[in-house]
Amino acid sequence: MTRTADVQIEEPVTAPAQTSFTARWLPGTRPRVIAMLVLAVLLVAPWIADIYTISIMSRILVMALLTVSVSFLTGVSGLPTLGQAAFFGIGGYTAALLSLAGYGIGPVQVLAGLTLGALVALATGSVVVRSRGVTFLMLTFAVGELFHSAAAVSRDLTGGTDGLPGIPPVVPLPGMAALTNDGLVFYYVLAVFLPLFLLTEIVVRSPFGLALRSIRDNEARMRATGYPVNRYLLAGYGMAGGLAGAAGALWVSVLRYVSPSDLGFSMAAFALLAAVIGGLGSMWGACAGAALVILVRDYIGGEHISVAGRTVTGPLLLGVLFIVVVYLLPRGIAGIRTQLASRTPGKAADS
Amino acid sequence: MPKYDRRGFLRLTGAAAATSALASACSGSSLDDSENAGDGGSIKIGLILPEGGVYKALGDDQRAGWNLYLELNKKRLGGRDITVVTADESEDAETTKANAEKLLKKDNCLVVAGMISSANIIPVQDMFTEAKVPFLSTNASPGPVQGKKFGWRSSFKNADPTLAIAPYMAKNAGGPISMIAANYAAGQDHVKALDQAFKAAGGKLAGDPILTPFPMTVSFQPYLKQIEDQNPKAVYCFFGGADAVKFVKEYQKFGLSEKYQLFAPGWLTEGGVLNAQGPAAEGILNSLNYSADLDNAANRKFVAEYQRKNGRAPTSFAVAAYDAGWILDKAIAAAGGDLTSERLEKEIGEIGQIDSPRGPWEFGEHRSPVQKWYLREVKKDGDVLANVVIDELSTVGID
Amino acid sequence: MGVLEWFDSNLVSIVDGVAYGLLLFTLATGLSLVFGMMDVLNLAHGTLYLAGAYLAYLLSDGSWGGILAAIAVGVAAGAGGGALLTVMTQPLARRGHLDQALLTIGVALIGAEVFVLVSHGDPLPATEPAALDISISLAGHTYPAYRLVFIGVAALLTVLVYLIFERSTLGALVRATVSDREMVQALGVDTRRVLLAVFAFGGALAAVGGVLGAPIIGPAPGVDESVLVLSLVVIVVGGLGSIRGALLGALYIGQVQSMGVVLLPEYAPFLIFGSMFLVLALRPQGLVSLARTA
Repeated sequence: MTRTADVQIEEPVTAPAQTSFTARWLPGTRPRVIAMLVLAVLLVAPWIADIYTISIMSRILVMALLTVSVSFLTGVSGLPTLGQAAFFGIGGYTAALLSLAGYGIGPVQVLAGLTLGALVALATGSVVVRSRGVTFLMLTFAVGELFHSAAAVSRDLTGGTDGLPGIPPVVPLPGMAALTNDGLVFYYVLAVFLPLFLLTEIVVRSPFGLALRSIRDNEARMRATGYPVNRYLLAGYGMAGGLAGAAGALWVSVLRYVSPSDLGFSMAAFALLAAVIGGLGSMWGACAGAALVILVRDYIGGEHISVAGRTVTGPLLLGVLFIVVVYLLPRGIAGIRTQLASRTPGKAADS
Repeated sequence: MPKYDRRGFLRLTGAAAATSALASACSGSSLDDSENAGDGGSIKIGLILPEGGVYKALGDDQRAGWNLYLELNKKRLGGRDITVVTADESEDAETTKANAEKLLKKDNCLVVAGMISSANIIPVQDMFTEAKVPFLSTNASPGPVQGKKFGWRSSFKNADPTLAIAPYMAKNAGGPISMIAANYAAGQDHVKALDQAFKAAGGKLAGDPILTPFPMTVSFQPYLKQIEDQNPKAVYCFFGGADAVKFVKEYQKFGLSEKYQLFAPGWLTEGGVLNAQGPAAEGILNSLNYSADLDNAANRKFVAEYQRKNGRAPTSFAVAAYDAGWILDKAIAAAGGDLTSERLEKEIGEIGQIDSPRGPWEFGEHRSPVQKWYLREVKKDGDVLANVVIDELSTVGID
Repeated sequence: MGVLEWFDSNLVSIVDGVAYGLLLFTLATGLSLVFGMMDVLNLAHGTLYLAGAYLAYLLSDGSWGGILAAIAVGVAAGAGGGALLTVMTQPLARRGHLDQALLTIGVALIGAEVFVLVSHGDPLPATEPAALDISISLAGHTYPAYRLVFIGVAALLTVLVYLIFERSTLGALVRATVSDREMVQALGVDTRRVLLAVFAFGGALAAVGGVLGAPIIGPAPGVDESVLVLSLVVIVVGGLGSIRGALLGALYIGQVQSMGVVLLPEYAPFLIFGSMFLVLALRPQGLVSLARTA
């Protein structure tokens, strides 16, 4: 029983140095086919799905990006976080304030959100990355709650608990018209999401990502080998903060509103639990986890199903989902492949 | 302005134009910008209220008020058959927006009513204003939504009860008062309103307003101590829900109720919270737009029917939802055959005086009620505690 | 202002901080032991408090018999809840805390909806015994009598918990299980039973905390979440898995939100998390660290 290995590990790494970068980066045939299929569905969706469905899908993409940042920190670096909503909110407020000041160009907002998210993460990170496990969890929780309270009371800057409404529609590139159509907003979100997602995948498979995994699996050895462990973790924390900040800026383009609840506890818990459901450490799993949680809470919850005269609310459905996932998918959605493979004799477990 | 390649720009706009041309070809998809016209048969009306969580009790009262109006009118509004599409108002603003979006974009409701929480309505109102579909809030009414097109409230404006009671307190409090409120937008609005209206009426504050953390004030004791340190003659407070129960009980337990008369907006003691507060609430003077004991024809009928159906006295929350039914009834009737969301918006604006159990009221410039407020005292009414009207305050909302 | 005057002026706040601190201790101990012993992060702990508070509403009618009945049922319900959670978390024993968090948050979400169902979403009244439903004079200041008695009862509970876990053979076994489960197993002890007992004990303590605490933090929607957050803060600040740590953390947080507010009113919204951040930044292992380093 160790308190430091606090994290359910997806794809444990035994010897990082021996795994060649290209071998890891080139995915196998089947995942590539699935990825292509998913991409095709995403590209076609706005032509088929109704407005409501497509705006849920936009939301899913943004929450997926936030969940990716949590999964990167929690699953890859081994630092379970309840504070990513703080950087998400910082990115959101940055984009909202830029937009209200007349700077409506989306990618600029995303870059600003990313930069500020990363900077604030680096600033707070110097304190928090010294701790591990539940202490890290509670420290990041404290950071999140402190920013949440600050946003709620700084009414002049943030609008207080009223939030900042009336944000104009996003302009995807200079000279283009603002996007008032939900389908086009979805394409914009997808266009920002994909490069950030791929970038994260590359980092996860890069020597830096491998070093983070090794720290997660055996910190003492990495220290002994002379790795500046905390500096690596700080860099990971900063990167995750940047990703969350970028997601926050996108969120504002979709919701056209930002409020303290965007950097509150429930948002942070959402992201952490979605990352666990997806399978910690798997980036595509994080996206699937976020999608599942939003589909269950909003899409199915929104259907307003009635059982014995009582409405089955979103939170109740979520509660059931969490319990079911824990028992049926011990390694999250990303672990399904491993689960299936381990049942087929002769087939090596996924690496 | 950056300079960019003109051909590239043309290509981009061309692509966008082609996209929207194609999009309008596949109608019903998310890329389709055309409006959804009503089909003339049954009208779809959305109702979004909490089905769970901390606001469920208020949601239940509002559903009861809304359903009562429909039942008394044979489930028809404006002589038309209606389908009420319900949705859950979650504590989570983002889920609430998704659910409201479903009513708007998937169910294509002609008009949507409901909404308890101020935090939830702000993003939702913008969405309705843009979609040109009226949203009739039955409770939530924060500053940022006032005056926005396609937005109406059948309840109040957040700070109205404070504006209404301020002159009374200035006259009757017998000296400077302390103000304590939950530290969020609504609480801050009441603080601001009190500061202005109370001073304008010649009142004096005993010290800076005391703000308590929201939503988690674990103990009020240190804040009660601040009140004592200010040495006021009376106290004005703004709290709701579990905070209202806790504050009123501790106010009494720590001996403040003996020393300083407590004034408040009427929500402090309205509905289920009064039961939980118990005897500690006795003697609280509060300001609200309704009390079940109001003596007018509309109210007598409303109270009798409501009591019969629900086995409890109605609250101001129930009345606001009942009035929403009345408003939509009359507006749909006035629209006649030309029943579109935009026509409904126009008809609501021309509805004139609303014949409500709280007494007649009408919409002001800000699209919220201009209405009379009452001074109520928490008293024993037989075995149970009730808010009993003891005086009329001013009519508020004209600004 | 002299020291005596200062003390007199703040006496009520200090005493009330102690009352809250001890209430938090009864809540947090179970959470801390379960975490320390079983390595289980139980986020449904607040639900057990809410269940206790709800029992107080149902059974405590102002008579002594009522509150005793509520306590008895609370012990049974809390222990049952703890046992159930043991069974539910058992299959996850070899998995991380986050899987347990997922499971127990699921339980907490369902519990919260069930509470809304039975309470109709209203805050419910929970009355103290009529004999204690008065305010008395505490050196010239008005103070609720119930809270003084609560301090006494909770202090007694604290001593009891301390004696059981820090001074008895049973406690030694529990502590041994905390620090090295494999070793205790090797000695032929069925650690699963020890774990079940501790979880049931912690659950009962939380539910009794709910019964006794109901007149202070009453049954209402959302209370489960806020007491859970406070307990988590307490055990992390105090030091995970330690009774003394939980006590120290609870008394510290109790004072932070009473005297802290008195001294720094303008920073009230930041006090609890700010002080937790400060403690953990300086002492990541909490105020009381166990001999075994994490």
